[in-house]
Amino acid sequence: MPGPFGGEINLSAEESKPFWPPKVVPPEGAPNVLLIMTDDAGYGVPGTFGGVIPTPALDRVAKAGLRYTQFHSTALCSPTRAALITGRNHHSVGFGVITEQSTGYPGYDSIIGPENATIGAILKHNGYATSWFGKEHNTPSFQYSIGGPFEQWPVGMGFEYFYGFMGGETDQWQPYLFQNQTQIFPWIGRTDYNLTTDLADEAIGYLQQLDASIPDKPFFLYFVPGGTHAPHQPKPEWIEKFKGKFDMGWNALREQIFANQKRLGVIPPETELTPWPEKDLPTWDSLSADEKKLFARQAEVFAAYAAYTDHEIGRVIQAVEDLGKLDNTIIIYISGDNGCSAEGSTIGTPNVMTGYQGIDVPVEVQLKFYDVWGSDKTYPHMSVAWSWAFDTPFKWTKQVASHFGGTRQGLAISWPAGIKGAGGIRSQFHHMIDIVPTLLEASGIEAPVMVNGIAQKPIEGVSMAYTWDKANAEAPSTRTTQYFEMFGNRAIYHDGWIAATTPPEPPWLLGLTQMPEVINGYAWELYDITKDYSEANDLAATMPEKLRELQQLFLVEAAKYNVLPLDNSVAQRIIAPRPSGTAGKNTFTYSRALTGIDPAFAPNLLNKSYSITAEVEIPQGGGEGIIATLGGRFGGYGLYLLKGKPVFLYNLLDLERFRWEAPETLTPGKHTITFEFTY
Amino acid sequence: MLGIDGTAVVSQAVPHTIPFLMTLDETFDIGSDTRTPVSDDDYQVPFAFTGTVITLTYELGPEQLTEADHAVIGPALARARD
Repeated sequence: MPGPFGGEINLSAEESKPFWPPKVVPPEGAPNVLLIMTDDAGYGVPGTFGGVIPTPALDRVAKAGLRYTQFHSTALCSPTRAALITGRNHHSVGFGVITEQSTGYPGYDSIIGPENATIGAILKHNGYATSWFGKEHNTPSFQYSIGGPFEQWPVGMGFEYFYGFMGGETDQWQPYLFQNQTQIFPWIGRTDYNLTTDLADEAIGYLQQLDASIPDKPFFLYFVPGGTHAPHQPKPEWIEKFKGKFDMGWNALREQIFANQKRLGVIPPETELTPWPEKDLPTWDSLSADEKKLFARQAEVFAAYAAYTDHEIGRVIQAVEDLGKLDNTIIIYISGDNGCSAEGSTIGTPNVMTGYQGIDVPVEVQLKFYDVWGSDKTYPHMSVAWSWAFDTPFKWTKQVASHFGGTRQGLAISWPAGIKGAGGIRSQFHHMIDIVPTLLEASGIEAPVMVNGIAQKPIEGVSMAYTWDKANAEAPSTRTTQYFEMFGNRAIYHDGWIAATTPPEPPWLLGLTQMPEVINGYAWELYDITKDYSEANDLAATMPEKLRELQQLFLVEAAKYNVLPLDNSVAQRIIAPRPSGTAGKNTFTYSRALTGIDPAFAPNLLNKSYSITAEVEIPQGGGEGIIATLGGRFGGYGLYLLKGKPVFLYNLLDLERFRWEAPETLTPGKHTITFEFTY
Repeated sequence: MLGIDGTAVVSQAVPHTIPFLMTLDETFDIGSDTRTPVSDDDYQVPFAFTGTVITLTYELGPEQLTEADHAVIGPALARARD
């Protein structure tokens, strides 16, 4: 509400006294905030946490501030992101799963709601300049259209500027990119374009422009590049740097990371390396020469992508320093929104669209892409075995919320003006939801009771700022309890103990096995993580009472945070109807050229019979070009005229292309082209 | 089956189709192609149509997945898209 007019108004301006309404400013000395998170990167990825991939930007933050060795995600991208920006558990804000799988329950509908204002909204209302660069994936997929609504696009969530991609992933060479609500194509005509560099350039440009316009206004900049989610597409000079670096294989890599972690002190000295899952994944020594050659290449490109991403993050941090603002900027750099991904099949793939759909691309076919792996001719992902190894010292991977291979993330926080005892390590147990209250405490802003007239639900995180005081280096964790749940896999942490369900199947089997009854059908494990950092020694059999106590606590927490109803029968959730603008339509008619309809709103040709009928006017001299297309190089279809002849082409995930080409060119004038497919 | 002015001109059977995810990051475009081509051998984007699309109509039949298909597809799709 604007305050009363403080001047004086008489008949003429000469006799009056002007008054400018006061502007909203943050508390005196409130810091700038640079919140950074990478994608699909387990604890053992960055060099800062013992990995073999150099991450000097993360090192820089750790050296200037603190490293956290027990910090957690939700095990999946957009749930983690929802928790991070709202300070509330993922189910509390509708992100129990991803939006493409949403169902009509409060914990699962992908609707954050105005009662859960994000840190963007809170800081904006307190006088910050707020911006978001990179991955979004917190907008309901049934709202990715020009019709919005936009309440849950970045602008509606309090981020005044957005430059990035809306979904979970995009090609880095020719990205599906948005500036605010508009699709843009900055890469056209630029041969050296790569999205991660562009995101850093845009963030730097934004900071410089803000400084030139309103130098005293603090910023909250959320920087979330696509790396290292698939497709793994770094610039080629980065791939070159890692040539031959993974010839030792995934088993030796684990040993190496584990030794580094002990040396750096980012795992306790008594930590055990969890055993290799021999039943599910081959040992390196058992592979053929061709397999070793291919798989090593997959890891080189992944590592290059991780290093390249960190490098670009480093440029953004440097820009803050160059503006003279580093001293009063909190940098929160989270390595990964979950563990490394197991979504690329056990043998990896040059096109992850195959991995997502359970298709293994034979090693000899993959080797044809060896030289171009990571380029725009590929959309690649590495073998699950590498992902497991990069999650060292833990078990499991992304999607598996029951274990730290899915949920343990490297984190470093720096704030020269606010954190003393630079370079330290902290082992308190914390979670994504604790970042918002930490930022609020640091900026001296209270969690709002109302935002835009809507009463707010309580923030569920607790501040981590107490760990910044060197005297509190060994203080007990203020987070004493935390549940984890994803696809029925679940865990409950309480006072140093964790009880976790055993995954009934590895995530890379895509649900082919019979899933157990979700409430009582799971086996449980129990760990004392004060002594057993890596979850290596299961105490469930010897301490059944402790386990039972924690299992009950899980249900209490689940009831509190909208985790119920538990559901591992994912199939029904996928086919459940959602309120998209074209839901249920079987006839689609268009009467002019247009581009940029999101696939969620386009006719879906999969697994059904269909017909496409195009009435066209062919100009004098013959027609040429696209009539209609969905998809592109890595899967899709096109109906077009090539040298005057109608062609329908079906691209089966870049594995095979089926082509129907008319023998004759179309004469000038009106024609009807039809394509009919009978399933 | 591809037909011109009501006459079938070429038809073929295909052994496989895409299971359940055609694309995650490409859009539906009429009259030109944004981002990447479906066939690099045939054209480069945007490959804008030199004629005029007067109308374009899609008619979709019912989805023909079985319950067994859904059991496989559901979790894979759900997990793939994050």
